[in-house]
Amino acid sequence: MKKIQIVFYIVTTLLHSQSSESKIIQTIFSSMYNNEVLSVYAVDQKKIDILHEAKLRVVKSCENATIAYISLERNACKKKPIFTDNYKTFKNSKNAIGAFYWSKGRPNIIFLQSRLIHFGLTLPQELKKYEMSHL
Amino acid sequence: MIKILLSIFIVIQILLLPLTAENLDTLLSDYAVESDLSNKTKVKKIGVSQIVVYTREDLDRLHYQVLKDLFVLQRFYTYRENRFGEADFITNEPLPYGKGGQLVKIFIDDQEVSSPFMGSGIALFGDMELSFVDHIEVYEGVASYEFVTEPALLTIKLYSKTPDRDSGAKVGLMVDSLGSNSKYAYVASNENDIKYFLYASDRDIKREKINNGDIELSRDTQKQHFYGSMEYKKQYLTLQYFKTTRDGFLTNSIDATPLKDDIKNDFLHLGYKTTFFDDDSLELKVSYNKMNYYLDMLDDNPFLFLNKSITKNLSSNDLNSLGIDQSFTTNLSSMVGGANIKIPFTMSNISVYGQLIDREEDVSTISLKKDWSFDNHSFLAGGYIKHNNIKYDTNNFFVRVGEVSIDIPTIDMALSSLGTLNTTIPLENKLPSQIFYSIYLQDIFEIDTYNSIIVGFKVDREINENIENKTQFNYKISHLYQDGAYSAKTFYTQQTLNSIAFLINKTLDDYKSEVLIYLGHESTYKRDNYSLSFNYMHAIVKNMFIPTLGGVIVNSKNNYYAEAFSLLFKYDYSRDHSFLVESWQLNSEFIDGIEKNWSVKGVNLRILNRYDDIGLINEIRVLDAEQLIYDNGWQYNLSLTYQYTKDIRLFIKGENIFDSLDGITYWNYSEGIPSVEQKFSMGIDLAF
Repeated sequence: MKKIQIVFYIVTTLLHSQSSESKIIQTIFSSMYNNEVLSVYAVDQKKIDILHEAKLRVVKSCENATIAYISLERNACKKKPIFTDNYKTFKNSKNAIGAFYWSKGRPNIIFLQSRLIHFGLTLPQELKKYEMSHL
Repeated sequence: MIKILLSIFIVIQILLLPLTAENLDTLLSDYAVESDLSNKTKVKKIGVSQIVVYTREDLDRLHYQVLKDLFVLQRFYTYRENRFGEADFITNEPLPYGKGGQLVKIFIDDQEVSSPFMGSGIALFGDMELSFVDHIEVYEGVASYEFVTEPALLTIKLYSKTPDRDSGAKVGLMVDSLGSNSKYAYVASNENDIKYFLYASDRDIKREKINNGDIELSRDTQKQHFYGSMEYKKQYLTLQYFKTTRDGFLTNSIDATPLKDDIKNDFLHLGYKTTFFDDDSLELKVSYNKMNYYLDMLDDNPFLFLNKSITKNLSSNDLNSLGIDQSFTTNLSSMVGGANIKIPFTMSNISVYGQLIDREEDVSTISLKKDWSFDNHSFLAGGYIKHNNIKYDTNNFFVRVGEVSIDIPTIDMALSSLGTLNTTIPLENKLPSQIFYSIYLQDIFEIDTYNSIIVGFKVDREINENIENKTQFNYKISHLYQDGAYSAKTFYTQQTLNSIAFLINKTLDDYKSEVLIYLGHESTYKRDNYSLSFNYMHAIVKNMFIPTLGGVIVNSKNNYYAEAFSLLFKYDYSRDHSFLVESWQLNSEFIDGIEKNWSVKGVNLRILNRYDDIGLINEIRVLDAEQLIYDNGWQYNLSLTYQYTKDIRLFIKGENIFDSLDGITYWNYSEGIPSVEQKFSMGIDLAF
């Protein structure tokens, strides 16, 4: 019992010591997929580090991924939902369900309803305020 | 017992966990603070200088409009203005310009913006608006060669907003109770390979008018400003232009009653920066600054008596245009054989009562620096070539000549009945061109986990047109100690100041360069939500330039000493509420003919509060100076911002609300004139 308590304490403490960015990514991805086990495709090291910090599983192939977290659209991810940090990619890619990006001097989160529906995703209540019906 | 404590911890952790997950807005604002661009500064730079950083969040919360607002609560170099109404933190009344201006450097996006004539950009940029600025670093005393390579007591580095963070557009409008208005707009995009930020502003700044008898002294300014930056991969290009038309306030006028005080400035800056290698360790910078300065100043009383005779070649026609008696010029014309024949007149007993300057300055700089690490050493090596040009279209004194003589006896007798002669005399441009070749090397040596030593050395070769070339040596040594919450930094430097035209034009040829010796110390104890910091500074200026009554500047035989210390306490008692209190004192000593010792004490207090969408800023500044070259008294500012939506923000602000500053007592004007007047302003910012 004591061991379990210690492990649980360490895990929860680590969560609290996470960066805000990884907490945001963790909150978004876990909420979108209702806390199911996720495989996330990412390319650049910074995103991979953030995903690791958010305790999300990172895969090297987009085909094996549940969702892709990328800046620019990639051919391998044509059929996968994309979450991006680039507003232009979000605007132009039909797979981009949401974005976490800087604009007007502040970080923003946005989701597009039609694309979420296309991938059979529904946002939980706490993320509904970031959902838009059209661009 | 351990089990119980552990269980309590776990329960607390579990209770806190859903809060983290649910409040995404809070996380977003935490993230904005964590990823503030100035954090790079904090991590990379804070260890090697006495530095005050104003983050994007600080600037957003403080809602400062212009650079001046930031310096009101600055220790040691608190905001002051010279006789021309320009920012001049190290002013030295009764000189019209503080010669210490050379020791204040301003950079925008890592490129220095300065006038080669003055050796600084503070007079040009002291009232610069901050709506295009992301964050600001203020270095006091000795900074690493990474941030400033020329001698400086105060280095101000502004960083513009970036396309990556500020894509979109924003407009803003501000009006105040003195009748000023200012508006700005910017647009930024990061959607393509070429990213850009474009900013423009138009400001009509009205200041409190001072009535001195029948003369109204004005500091009003109209300013148009453009700033643009472009990024393509590792290439950064900046373009800046501003145009200023303003009134000259007291000017050089000896009795503070100028008859004419028109000043115009144009400033153009082009900057290019690129880095090489994966770690960006090699940096190349190229910049070009061009400035036009126009001054038309006239007074009824002379402000200077020239202690020398001047010989001027004049013809009868020249004398006619000066209003000399017709019978004399006719007589002269017949004697010398024509109205256009010039003969030498020797003029003495000359008093100066006006000045017309039309000056063009430009400075081109190319610089290269490389950093690398080896064992416990972090090296920085670099160099630059800088070319200054100063050219005058017009550079005249309006003078009244008390005595005119000529070697022809008959004419000489006739002249004695003419009385005074009003004319112009051209002024010397003793330093029309300068080229600097500079190299420097710096090593940060980590002795152990707690101690580091920084050693730096710089050599300047100064090639001066018309005057003697110079080789200047500068060096610095610093010690850093860091042990958990406590850190201590101690700095020592000796720097030889470069020749600048503003001073050299008035010096004798055998001048010696001024030498700045600086000893600084900072001890800080920092915990999660509070910090206590002690700062100490001791500066000596050798060979200090001082003016004589004859308008010549000479080296003082005595040293100038300044000693300053401060105690700063900051406490963030919650995420939205914080306060800062700082007490400081500056003592100066300078003995040269007239003993000039003075002491100024200041206390600064700032309280920041945020209640949902409302931000509140309370500021108090108290100044107590023995000499009235400071705004003696106290000042209370209150600012309220209301974030109506994420994209719309309104603000109202009161500065010097109780009009409680005694003001600066300028030479020959006995009433104090505050650098910060009582003023109420309101405005709106709108993002798209």
